[in-house]
Amino acid sequence: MSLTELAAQVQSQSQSARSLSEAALARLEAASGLKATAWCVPDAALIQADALDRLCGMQKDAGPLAGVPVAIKANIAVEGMPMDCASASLQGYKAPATARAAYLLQNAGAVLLCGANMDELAIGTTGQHSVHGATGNPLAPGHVPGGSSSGSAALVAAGVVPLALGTDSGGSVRQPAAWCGVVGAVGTWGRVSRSGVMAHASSFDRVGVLSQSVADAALAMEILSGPDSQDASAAERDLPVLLKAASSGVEGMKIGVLKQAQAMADASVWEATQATVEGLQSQGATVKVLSLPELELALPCYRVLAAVEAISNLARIDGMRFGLKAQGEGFHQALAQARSTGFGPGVKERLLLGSYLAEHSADLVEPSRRLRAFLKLALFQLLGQVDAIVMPTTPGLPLAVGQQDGGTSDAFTVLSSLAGVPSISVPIGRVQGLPVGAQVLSRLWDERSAFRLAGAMESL
Amino acid sequence: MTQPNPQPTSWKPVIGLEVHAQLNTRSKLFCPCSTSAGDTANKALCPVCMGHPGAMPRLNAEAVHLAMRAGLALGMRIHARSRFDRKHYFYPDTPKGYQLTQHAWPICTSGQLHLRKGEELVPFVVERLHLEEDSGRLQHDEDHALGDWNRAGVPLIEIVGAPDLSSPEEAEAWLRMLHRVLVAADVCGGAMEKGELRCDANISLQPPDGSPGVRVEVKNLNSFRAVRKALQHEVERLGGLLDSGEHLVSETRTWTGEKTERLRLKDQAVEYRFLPEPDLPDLVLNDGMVGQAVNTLPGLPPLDIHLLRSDDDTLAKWMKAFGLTREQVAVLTRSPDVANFFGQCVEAGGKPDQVAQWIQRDVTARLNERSVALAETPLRPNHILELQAGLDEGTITRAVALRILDWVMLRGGDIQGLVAIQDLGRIHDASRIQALTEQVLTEHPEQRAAYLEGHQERFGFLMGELRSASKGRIDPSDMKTALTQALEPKA
Repeated sequence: MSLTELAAQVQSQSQSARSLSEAALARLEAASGLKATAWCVPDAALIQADALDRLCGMQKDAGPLAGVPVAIKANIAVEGMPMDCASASLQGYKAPATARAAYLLQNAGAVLLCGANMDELAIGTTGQHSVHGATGNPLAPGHVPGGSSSGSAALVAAGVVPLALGTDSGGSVRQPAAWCGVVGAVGTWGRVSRSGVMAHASSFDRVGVLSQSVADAALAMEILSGPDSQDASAAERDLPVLLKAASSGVEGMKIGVLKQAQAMADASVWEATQATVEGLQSQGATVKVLSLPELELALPCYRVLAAVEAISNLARIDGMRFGLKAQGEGFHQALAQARSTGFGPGVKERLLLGSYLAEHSADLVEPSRRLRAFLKLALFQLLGQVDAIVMPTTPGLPLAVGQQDGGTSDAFTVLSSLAGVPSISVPIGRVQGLPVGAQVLSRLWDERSAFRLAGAMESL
Repeated sequence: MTQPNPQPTSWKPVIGLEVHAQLNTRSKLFCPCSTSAGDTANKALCPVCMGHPGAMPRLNAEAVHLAMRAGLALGMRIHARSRFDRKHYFYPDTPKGYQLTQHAWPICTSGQLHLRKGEELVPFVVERLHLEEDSGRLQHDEDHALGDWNRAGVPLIEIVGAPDLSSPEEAEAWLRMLHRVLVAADVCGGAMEKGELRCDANISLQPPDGSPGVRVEVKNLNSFRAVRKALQHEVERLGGLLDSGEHLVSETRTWTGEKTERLRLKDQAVEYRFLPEPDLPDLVLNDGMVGQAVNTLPGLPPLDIHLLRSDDDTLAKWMKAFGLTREQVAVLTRSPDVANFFGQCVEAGGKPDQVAQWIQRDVTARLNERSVALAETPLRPNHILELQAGLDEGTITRAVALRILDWVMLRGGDIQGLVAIQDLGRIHDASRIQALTEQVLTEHPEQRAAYLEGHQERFGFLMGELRSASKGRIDPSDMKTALTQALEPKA
């Protein structure tokens, strides 16, 4: 059932918001083995649900998401709820106010049911680095769900909630969506407010949605889009009409395929993606092969720049004002204690890298900034020749638990991150029994084309 | 390593000042917290200025406006596009782990400040002016450090002067001039004792061959005097070291009030890892915003912005236009509301020198006494004009005029009404004056006797008594006449 239908049932009182939330809480309980949640306060969820039911009882409009239970990634603030970002360093920290994105969902009638587990401080691609435990993949037991929005993807994939908020810097919404067989979407950087979201790499960070269907993601993105007085980078733009686009077909659309992606992807993943492209062709889209010889530089470029921003954004975690309480003689010793006990190995590795890079900024960071500008322009040029680009979301299949890939699963998702263009990952079936996704990239502010194409991919 | 030993006088001081000025805004630079939290620690805090997860900065337009205005007053280039950077260092006074400042692209560059050298006006280059946020304050005792973050995020402008000052005295004069321009432009309160204006100095002693000397930075110069004294101390200290052939090292020192002490060597300096602030778009100014800053430069009546750029031009124009002395103009242009008030009085028909005297002598003293700004009092130009008219026409005495000034500066009101209701008019009637005089002499027979025995100074005492008895309503010349007559030995 789509979110629209679900909300209509709640609005017409043929189903109560309370019953939806209670059912979701029961599923959450049943799926506790997934370790997909970071927090859950059932009473708080049921109070929201009851309020919505009263509203519906009074024939008042409860919103386009009336009664829909949603999960919120643990780095997105929900007032009064823990916001530990799955890090020991922030244990005990409760959000002083609700993030704009979560507020907009709530305002549209959604019930903020629980916090979703994640890779610590949004650094990671496996969902295995968290104080709340390693998250499982409901569709591929024994395999990781991907990350960092691991819990969001797992909760949607397991059918616990139909919609979850995630954040995506280098692929943290789209990569776990692909590996868990759900839809993951991010709009143009600046489309959705980041206020109330713990920053990881701000110039890449985007709030995105994970859902069972493209239409659900489209509806959620419509609700989330718009300016925010608390986030100067959230743009004043015409709000996109996406829900309709998701079902309007691809007749006449021009699709680009990056030929360099073939060499970087597993053959089986590439074949699955090609089959999708052919399917789109059969529905009336035309295909153009595009060339981006520098595609393999996207990942190292992202890694350098994201690490440098991460050390800046995480500098505020000092054990002085919130989270883990620092102990030690004098400020610097206490600081070192708080950070060395508070951060897990993945975060520490990133911080060491970022610190090294920042101290050699002219040699290491500046070239990456120039490279980013170049890749951005190159991608804009390619997107100027087509309506959207379709490529595998990840080069490979979901990793088995314990398997290492050196973090290369973001190699394709970082392209949209570097340029800030919309991107949606859509499940395109299974390869060797494991979920696979393909992603669409469209021009800046043109989420519409991405959703059109994503909708068609889903219906293949 | 020994260096040649030139004459002590051949070392040439090269000095540049860096000034942090707190902007007169109501709220902080990136959040709506108040900038005037007073003495209660940690009263004006929010998730943004405390660096909470997810809190994002929003630039205060008022601060941008004031920074532009300061730039205009210093004749600087205002840049249509500037940007904020994060300057990183770990210290509890900086909650985010970085300070937001304009490192690479400041809002203003290349201005000047003029100082008078003899008959000449000498321009000194102001290299840059940029916006940044203040940090919190820490207090240490034996076991603890206590933090107060009320000032964390308060808007500052940092003004960097070129190293072209050649003596501690010149540096002090430069800072005084900068202070006056910023206060006159109504950008900064200027109270150095409250930290509204803070100064650091860079100094090196240049060898006779003109090669650059080793640079020392002196921090914590929180008064004009401290700037001069600390730099004099450094000139002497560095000169002494050089004369004895010592090899100097680049370092940062602090002024203790009596001497400078080393804080750290420059090669121990931290790497700040500057990062363009991704949460704030570039600061783009349009003509309208710059125009507004131009138009709101305080309306010092006979001034325009060109005059504000150079303090000595202002002085000259005012001196010429109103026939005032340099000192009078200095007092009148010290703050925009005083300058405005003067202009209004003159416009309403006051004589410039008389109005200037009122302001310089009587009004300023009362403002200082109560630590208030002129604009905060109910004093109006017509009050000064009516008091002056009362003196000119002989309807009130100066002593009464000052009492009325006290009153109207506290409560406002109508002067003629006050005079009538409280019976403050000057006593002209000779018989009444004589009666009051006799009364005073009768009350103080011993003083009278002492005077008659030759103790001349007792005359002053008796004058004072007569002033009290008459509530100041007799003119001093009338009192003198009456008292002299009454004290004359009876024929």
